[in-house]
Amino acid sequence: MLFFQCMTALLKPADRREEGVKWWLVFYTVAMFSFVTVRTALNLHMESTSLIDNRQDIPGDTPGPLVYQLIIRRMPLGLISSSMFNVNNWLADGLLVSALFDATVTHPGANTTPL
Amino acid sequence: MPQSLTQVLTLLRSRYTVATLSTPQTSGPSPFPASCTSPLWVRIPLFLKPTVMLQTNPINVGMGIMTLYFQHNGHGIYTGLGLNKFGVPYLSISVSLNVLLTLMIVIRLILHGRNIRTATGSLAGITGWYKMISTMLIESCALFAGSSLLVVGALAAVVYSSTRYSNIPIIGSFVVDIFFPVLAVIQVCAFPRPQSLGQLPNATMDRTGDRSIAHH
Repeated sequence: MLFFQCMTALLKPADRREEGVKWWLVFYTVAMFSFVTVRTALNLHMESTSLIDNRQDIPGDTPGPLVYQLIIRRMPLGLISSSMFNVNNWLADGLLVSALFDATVTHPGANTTPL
Repeated sequence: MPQSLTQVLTLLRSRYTVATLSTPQTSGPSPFPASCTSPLWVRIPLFLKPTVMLQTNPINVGMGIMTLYFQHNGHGIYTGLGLNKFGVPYLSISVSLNVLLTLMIVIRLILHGRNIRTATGSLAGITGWYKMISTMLIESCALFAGSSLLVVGALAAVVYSSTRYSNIPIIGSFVVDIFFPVLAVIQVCAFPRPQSLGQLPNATMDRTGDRSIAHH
């Protein structure tokens, strides 16, 4: 929901005096949204696999869905799901730095001295 | 780069006295406006913006990669070297970076709002404590910082304490299990919002001020 509000605000900017739609921000937001969607989908898949499909299927001394989930989280799907968090963290830090860049470098004339 | 302390002080002083700072002599056409008053070592060229953006904290990225490597190669994702040696420092570095960057933005924002208020009266700027605090909470990543601190504290309690004498790790693992998936979503929800509202602090301020005028 927040993503679609953000897309609306990005694609129809209220301030049309400048260059218009900022396409790099649109792509950035779409990328972050898709990464977190991949992560959520993989987590849901692993949860359903461990809690529903293979609930009691493990023989031996590793019973239960949580232990099965620990095992399958070490497989490539779990690695992808974990690395999505790291990529998103990286992108979010980059977005914060770009805001600081705009505030300090691109428009340095904004006087922030308390008058 | 400033060479000595006196040069640093001179630069800072000239940063804060707007009109008296002479713009440095450049050979070509400068991408900056003539009223540009920032010191030289702040003026990074504009085409370096993506580079500066994505090379923010290579230590953070490296810690994340090491966490993933040791989580998926060692003895398990919760018991191996990953969370012990790399996971908690990774999240701590991430939280500290976010808080510092946010403070650097928010301080500028607050000072700018105060300037607008003193220059144009109380209507055009942000009026009242409510809008000031709400702007601060929205523009900053208070949501992300709070949940990150919960996750880091609980994760450290899980990793660095023993189950023999207390049930702190059990509660901590509950907290981690609750807040860590939320953290991944909050990261996406909390960060693009201020950018969508307006890229500049003064644009956001003006728009908020317009809205307040329209509602009154």
